[in-house]
Amino acid sequence: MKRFLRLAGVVLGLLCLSSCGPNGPGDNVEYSDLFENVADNIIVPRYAQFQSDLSALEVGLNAFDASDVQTLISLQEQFKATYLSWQSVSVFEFGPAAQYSALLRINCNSFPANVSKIEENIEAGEYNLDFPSNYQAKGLPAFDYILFHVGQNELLNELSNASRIAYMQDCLADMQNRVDEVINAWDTYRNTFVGSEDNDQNSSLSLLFNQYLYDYEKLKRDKFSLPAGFATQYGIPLDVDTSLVEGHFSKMSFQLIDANLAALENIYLGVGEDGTDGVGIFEKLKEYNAQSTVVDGDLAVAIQEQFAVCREAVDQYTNDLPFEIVNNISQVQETSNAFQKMVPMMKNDMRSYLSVTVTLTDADGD
Amino acid sequence: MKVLKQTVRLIALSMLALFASCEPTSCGGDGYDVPTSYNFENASYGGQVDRLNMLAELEMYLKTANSGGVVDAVVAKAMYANEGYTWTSDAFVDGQPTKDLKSKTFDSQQAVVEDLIDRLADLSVHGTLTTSGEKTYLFDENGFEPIQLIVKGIMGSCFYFQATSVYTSPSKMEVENDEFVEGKDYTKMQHHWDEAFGYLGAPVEFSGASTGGGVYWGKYAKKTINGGLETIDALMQNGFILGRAAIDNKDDETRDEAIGIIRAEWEMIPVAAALHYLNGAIDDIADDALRNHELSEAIAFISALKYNAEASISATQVDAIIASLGTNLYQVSPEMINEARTSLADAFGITNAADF
Repeated sequence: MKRFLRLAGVVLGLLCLSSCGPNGPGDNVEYSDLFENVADNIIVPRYAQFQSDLSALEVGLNAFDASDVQTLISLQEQFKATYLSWQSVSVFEFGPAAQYSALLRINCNSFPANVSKIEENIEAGEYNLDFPSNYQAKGLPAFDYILFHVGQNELLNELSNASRIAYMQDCLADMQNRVDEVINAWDTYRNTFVGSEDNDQNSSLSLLFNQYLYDYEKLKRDKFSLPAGFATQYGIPLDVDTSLVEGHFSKMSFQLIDANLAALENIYLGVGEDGTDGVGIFEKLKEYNAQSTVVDGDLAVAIQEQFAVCREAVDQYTNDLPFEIVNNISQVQETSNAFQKMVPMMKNDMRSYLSVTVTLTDADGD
Repeated sequence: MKVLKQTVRLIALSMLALFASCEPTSCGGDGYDVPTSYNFENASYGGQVDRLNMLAELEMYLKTANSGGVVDAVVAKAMYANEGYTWTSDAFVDGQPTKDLKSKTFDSQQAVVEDLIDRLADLSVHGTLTTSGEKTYLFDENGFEPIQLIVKGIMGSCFYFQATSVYTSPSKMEVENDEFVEGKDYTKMQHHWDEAFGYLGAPVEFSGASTGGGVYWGKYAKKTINGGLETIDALMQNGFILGRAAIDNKDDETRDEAIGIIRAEWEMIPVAAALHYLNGAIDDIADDALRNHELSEAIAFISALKYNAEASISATQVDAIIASLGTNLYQVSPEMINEARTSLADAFGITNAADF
């Protein structure tokens, strides 16, 4: 289905290219159709999905019975579905999600988990999940640890301790409160987002582009280059540390990366959650007849193809990322190169056609 | 107080209008020349330069704790009071300074600084360093960074206090301005004015277009630019330079207007610096090292606001803003930092706090 959509995107793009006449940068391109599609068919339904996954996780937690392994398995499965679902909303950290009372990124997914802090909190039975010191001790990474860090039998034994279940319930409520707040706020923010016209720092165009770039760069660095030992900090190379991957205990690292890539790809192509291909960044670059400086030719197609290259590279792996880093570093390096190749296409080429400035700077290199 | 600031601004604007009609670039109320730099022939503020250099050497010593060194409270206090310490920096190669930082610090704060030195000395032995990338800091158990509270604290309760409250006060301004001080080429009033300027740590050519070369307040003054303020030009041209030219020309009225401008404009430097660090702390909320360091800086700069004779904000308000950050920086939330930022910005009519 996705393949077909991608193909359809290319065909549509080509049709437009031949029939719409040439446009160049500087032409007046309207974005309201893009904003409308992204808000109504992507952002709002994705948040709804994440919210419903959190509810399902709540059901699973409440139904958990330490004497019934099936309840553990379904709890674990629902957690995985929720973590995958998070990947599709992490990019929208502007407007409601960027409110200080929400800040979904740090509150839901500060990885790697701080394992000793989690155990300390559970032991104490008293904690304030709002404290910055608990960012890495809550959210999805805390579930990843509590639900997967040992084998099934030992886990059942551990989870017979009610305080571990209570801790997960508190972590879950913390996420649910924030997500509910964001979803409610989108009711009114939707029109602000869609109606934004300029390209200044607070415009929807700038917010969307910058968070999009930031989410991609975080994926590339924090989820991949950093654990693989390709990243630097202040120019100093950092050592390999496989424990830094996302989804370390559930061994979901590649699935999470792929879900994150797919989420970004669909925004790019304008594909809504119901599968309908609407107006995305792709279509806007087509309107500009944008050219790539990284590869010769059409920028819209070049980015689309690079997404395909990246996702195929990720799909090739049979084990989780820590295993591949240790046993297959040369292929990991190739994947890293594929991720890196996208950066100038987005950061330089796409940015210049959209006429926005990069406001989120990440001082750390990789 | 805000009304006062508006008035001061208005006066400043009307002065500018006055300048516009004068030749060649500017002139005072009675037609005298006002230069564009503080390059007055008989300017003298060596004592202030010494104190800036003493704080620099003290700071360097305190910061050895950030790389695991042990700070000796006796040594640090000897530096602070300049009693029995031998200065080693290049600034003192021609002789030991006779001035000191402690006696010029606002009375109640002298003991505060010394207590912080004790706390730092203890932490340098028993504390644990907190690291973020290449940066390493030493915090107390509640996340406060004594080094910042000491150094930025001295900037506020000594340098800023001396300049905006002491040397620009009637006791230092209602003085001899006809005869030179014996053996010197300046009057007492000129010298007092120069001493106030010296505490700014700015080069004589300092301007919004040329911000290099400043130390301490002269360095942090640049933070006003991000927020679109023209503090540096107003403080230099309409404050220190105009006031000195007025004194040279016995124009007390203009001098007093310049004092108002200095007090109102310099105040924007700690405000801008505090906003800058509060913004940083929100961005770095998840990083214990950076966040606590930035909050400590912000707290010290906000505290400084108390030491201005014509502060636009009451000491109670200052305390309330700091209190909104809580008593444990490991437990601060983005909302708490935002509350401090909003109250501070509101108190100064700033609507673009996030730009600083």
